[in-house]
Amino acid sequence: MGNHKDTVTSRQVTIAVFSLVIGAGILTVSREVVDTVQTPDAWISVLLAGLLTMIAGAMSVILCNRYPGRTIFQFSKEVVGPVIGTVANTIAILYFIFIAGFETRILSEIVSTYLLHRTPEKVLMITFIWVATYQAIGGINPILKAFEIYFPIVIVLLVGILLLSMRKFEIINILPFFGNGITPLLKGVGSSLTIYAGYEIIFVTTAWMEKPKDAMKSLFKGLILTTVINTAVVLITIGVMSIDEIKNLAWPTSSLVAEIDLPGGFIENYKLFFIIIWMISIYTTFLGVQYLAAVGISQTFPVKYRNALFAILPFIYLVALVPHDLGEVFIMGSAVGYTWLGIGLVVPMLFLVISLIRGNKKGGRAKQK
Amino acid sequence: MRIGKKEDNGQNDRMPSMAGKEIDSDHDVFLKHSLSSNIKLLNRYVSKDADVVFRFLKLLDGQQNAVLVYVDNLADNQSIQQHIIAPILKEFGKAKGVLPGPVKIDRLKDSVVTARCVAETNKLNECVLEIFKGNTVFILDGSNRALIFTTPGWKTRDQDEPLGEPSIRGPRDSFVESLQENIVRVRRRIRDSSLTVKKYSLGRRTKTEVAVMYLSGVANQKIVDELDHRITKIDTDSIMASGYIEQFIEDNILTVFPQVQYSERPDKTAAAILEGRIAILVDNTPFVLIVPTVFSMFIQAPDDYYDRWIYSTFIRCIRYVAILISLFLPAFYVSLISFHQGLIPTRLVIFAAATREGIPFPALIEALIMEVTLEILREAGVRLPKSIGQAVGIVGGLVIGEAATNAGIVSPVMVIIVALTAVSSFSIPQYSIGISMRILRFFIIFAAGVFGLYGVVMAFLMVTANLTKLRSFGLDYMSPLAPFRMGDMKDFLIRLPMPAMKRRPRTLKNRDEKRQGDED
Repeated sequence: MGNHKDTVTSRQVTIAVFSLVIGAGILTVSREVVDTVQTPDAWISVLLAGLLTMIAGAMSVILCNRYPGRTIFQFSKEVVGPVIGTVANTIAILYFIFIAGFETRILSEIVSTYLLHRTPEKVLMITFIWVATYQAIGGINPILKAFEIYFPIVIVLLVGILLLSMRKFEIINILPFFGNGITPLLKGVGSSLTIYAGYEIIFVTTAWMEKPKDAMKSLFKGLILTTVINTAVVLITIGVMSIDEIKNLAWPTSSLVAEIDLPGGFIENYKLFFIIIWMISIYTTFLGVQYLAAVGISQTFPVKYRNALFAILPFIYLVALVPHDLGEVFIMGSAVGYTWLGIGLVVPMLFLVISLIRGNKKGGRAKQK
Repeated sequence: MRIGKKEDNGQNDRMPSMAGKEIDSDHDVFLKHSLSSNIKLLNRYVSKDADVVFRFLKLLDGQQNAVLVYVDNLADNQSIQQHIIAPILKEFGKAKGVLPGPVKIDRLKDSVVTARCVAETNKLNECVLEIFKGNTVFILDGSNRALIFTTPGWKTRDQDEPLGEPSIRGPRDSFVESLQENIVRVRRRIRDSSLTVKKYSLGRRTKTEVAVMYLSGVANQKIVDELDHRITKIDTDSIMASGYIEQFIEDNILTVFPQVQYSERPDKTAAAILEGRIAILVDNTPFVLIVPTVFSMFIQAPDDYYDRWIYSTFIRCIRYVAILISLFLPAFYVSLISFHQGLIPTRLVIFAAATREGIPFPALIEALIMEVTLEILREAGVRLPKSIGQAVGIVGGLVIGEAATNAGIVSPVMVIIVALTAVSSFSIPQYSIGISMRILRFFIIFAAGVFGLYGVVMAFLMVTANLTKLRSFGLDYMSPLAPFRMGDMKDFLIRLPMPAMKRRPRTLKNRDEKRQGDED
């Protein structure tokens, strides 16, 4: 299935979770969360959202481990019946195509904002999609290996940039804690949850893991890392720029990098590194969801993985073309996030409950650990 | 006494259609009891070859005849005389004092001839093959069996220092063109009973001998079997050098990266075998193939292990930097100069702009001009005789570089960048991976010229995509980086001290992983 040859190592799952979750969302998360929360402790919402995602992720792993060796696309029919299962799979596939299109659009927006002002965005999108497809043809193992290669590059540059921007961090900017009570924070959890979309890769990888028992540990490692980074980004952005400024920025995280100024430093503009990281992070997210969509099609319908991969390309491209301007792109981003609340959080819980009830009735087909 | 095959021309004229016939390996032709009919049979295949010698012997005062067939000088005339002919004539030349009755071939083989008898056969095609291998075929009247003696006589080149892979502290010997000598060079380094040598004969017409060497107690049997399968599947008429085999057994054709390593150093080959890899030695080639190969092996040089670990680690890191420079430096320069001046520090922008003043070409064209020139110079230097090659280097490197800058065709910064790139790509220990880097460099420069930094990153992603899809005999090409194996990282970017390298690379899934110590 999906050119799957080897088993997947625990480390690969951790990195896959990181690579998929860290994507386009982190560019704008500070503005979105600050918009909803309106207080400087918006970063607490991001932290809480991360913890919530871990709970959802833990349930997903329990669910997947009840059906060892099979992906969610394969066992969903067994959990909720063939008809609803197929419908659920199709919705998930459409959702992945939707994210892929969104990531493509964000990439072309960033590239045309910061790098290539005159190159048509369509050319950027098409080259980007083709490069990812070239990687995705190889199936899950090459994709995970590629994530492993990009991971150290991304993490080193990312942490480096965050540390460098700490210089202008003003503690006053993040005070006071709980100024307006806890209610706005809880509201913020909703919008910050959206940046955790992407951990769904474990629905597929758990099936092929070397040691499926480690799935939970790997997922947690990945999510903890992601939560720390997301929280740090929001915290530092607020600390450096204050919430009033953030509200007016299109790409707050990128503006944060523009603030970096090292005395005596030869490099004046750290955006170069930032753009490289973000192109790679968006690429990994795109690659992951593109793979998930294609593998979903190949396991739901009688279509080969490779054909499915090519068949979804035009749809991804069309989705990427939908928004007319940057404002609509951001609306689309929120839409992606809220769809994820349904698909990434509610569905696994629902599936787990149904599976537990039905599994108990059948008595033992599924082993629970 | 020496009778060339010319004498038999009369016979051949009578059956011209049979002369020089090709051996039909599907249908065995068997030898007969009569010597004259056996000679006739042999003549069908070898009569046209002026260098095949038929040496007749009269035994027992002419009561019984025998013949030695060999290729002049391919078989060593002196050893034939000394170890085959002399003992036979001494024992059986006179009828007096010999047991009555015809000479028994078994007695002759076991207790008379001092040359080594490698085989005994009654098949004609086998005889012909052995003759062309340089062995001597002995046929006795009255027997339908032929004896085959080894008498290899050709001279091999004296061993030189390994020209392609010089080393500072390593041994100075290198492989030569003879398979036997090469096997000996490896064996001398590994005195282990589990060192296995498997021989194949490849090439329908060349019948090239190929030997596969590995440690049967260590190497992964799956890889050994896979290699065996791939080698036996090779069906071609000629194997001129080990490069032929490399191209037949490699996993992936659509890539610039070599998936088989070659070496002319016996120490490196032996070390690879000890790691659990398999060496393929090919007759007439001083280059031994090593499989399975992963990317990191191309960055390792034998000296890394002969020198102390701190130095080796330092050199390793330098090499990785060199790879990055050789791949990305010109592309970075092109993309920054032509698209993103805003991302370069101001002082550097002013400096770069000043040096590029009056240059009529865009940076992409400028880079391509210099890179192509450099490639042409390099190729010219390699193909020409050494003495002229140096002159080309001087003319090319100094004169063209200097003149082009003075004339204002390329900027001095570009010359520096291209030169640095070239030097970097030559600092990679394996020539073959250097070639990959150079090809990719053109691709990345092009991407940079069209899409700027975005193009560079996309090109990088594509190269990684290609690398992650590669495998060499089932091994991930990018291991131990991806999939990450902590244990193997001790010999990747850093080279830990010898006492710390207790285990063989885990990626290989060897049977015996322990190198040192007993603890588990």
